Amino acid sequence: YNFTDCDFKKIKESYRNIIYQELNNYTKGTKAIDFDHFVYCEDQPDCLSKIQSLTFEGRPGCAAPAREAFAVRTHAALAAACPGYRGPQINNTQTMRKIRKRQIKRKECLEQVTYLKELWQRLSRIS
Amino acid sequence: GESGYAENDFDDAELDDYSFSCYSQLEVDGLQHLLTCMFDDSDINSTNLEFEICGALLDVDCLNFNKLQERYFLKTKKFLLIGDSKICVKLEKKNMTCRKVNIVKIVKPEAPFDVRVVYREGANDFVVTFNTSHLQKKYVKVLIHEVAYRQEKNENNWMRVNLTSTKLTLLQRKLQPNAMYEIKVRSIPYANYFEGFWSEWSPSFHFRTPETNGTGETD
Repeated sequence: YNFTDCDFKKIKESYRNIIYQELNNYTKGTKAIDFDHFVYCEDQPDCLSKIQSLTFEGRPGCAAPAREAFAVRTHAALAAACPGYRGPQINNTQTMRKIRKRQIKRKECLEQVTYLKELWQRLSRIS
Repeated sequence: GESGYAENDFDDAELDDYSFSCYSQLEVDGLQHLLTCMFDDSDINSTNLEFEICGALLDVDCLNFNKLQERYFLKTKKFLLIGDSKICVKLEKKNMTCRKVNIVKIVKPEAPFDVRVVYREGANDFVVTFNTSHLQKKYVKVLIHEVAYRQEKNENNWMRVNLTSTKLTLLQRKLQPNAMYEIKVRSIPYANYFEGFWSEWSPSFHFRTPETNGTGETD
C-alpha cells in the first residue's frame, strides 16, 4: 500500500492522543538504549510503511504484536486516514487474553515495539 | 411472552421518533469509559427498546447497553478511541434507527469540584481555585473551564471568565463591597482531538466581599 495520500495530520492526532499512550503501556520500563539497533524513516509515507511493517509483521522471536491494543488502534488510525487502506485483517473477535498467554512479552517484542515508538516519534516531528 | 408491542402496535412503533443523544466520559472509573444515551423524546415508550454499539471497539464487534430508568449506559475499556462507531436502537433485534458516532467527539467532562475563594487583603483581590479529575487522566487532559460568578441579589447577571488553568484572580475593585457572591465552574474539552459538551456545573461557592472596595473608599 502506498501511504502517500494519507491524511497525516489526522494520523498524528491519533498517535499523540491515543496510540502514544498504548505504546508506552506496552513498553513500560523499557528504554530505547536497552537495544543497540537504530531505526530511521525518510519521510511520512516511508515512516507509515515501516510502522505498518513493524506493527503487523512478525519477526524472529516476536510473532506479531498485531492484536495488541496499540496495533489494533494503529490499524484503525490508518484505515480512518488512508484512502482504500485495508491492511492486514485483524481477527477482532479472538480474545486478547488467550493470545497474550502465548505471546508473553519477550525481549524481542519489546525491542520491536521500542523501534515502533521511535518511528512514530520521527513521524510526529516531520511537518 | 407479553411484549411491549402487540402486532398492530408494531406499525405504530415504526412511527415513534427514535432520535437519541449520547455523550461519553473517558476514564470515568479507572480505565473504564462510560457512554450514556437517551431518547430525545422523553415520552417515548422505551419498553423492549435496546441500544447497541458496533465498530471502533477492541476485541469485539458490538456491545449492548444497560438500561437504568430512561437512560442507556455502557461502561467498558473496549473503545478504540479512533474512528467511527455505529449506535443503533433495536426493538426485538430489529434496527429502528442507527447513527454514526465518534466516541472522542461527544465527550462530556466530569464536573469540576472543590471551588474555593480566598481573599488576599494585601493584594486587594480574591484567589479562586478549583479542582478537576481530568488532571489525572491519560486522554482528556486539556479542558476549557468557564468560571461564572454573580452577586446573589442579581439573579441573572452572571459574569463569566474562560481559562485553561484551575486558578483565577478577581480584583476587589471589580466587585461590589459588602456583598454576597456566588461562584461556580464547568468544563468542556479543549483539544482538537477530543471534542464534546459542557460538563455539569460544579457545586457553587458563596463568599462575602469586605466593606471597602479595595481602593480605600467605601461606596
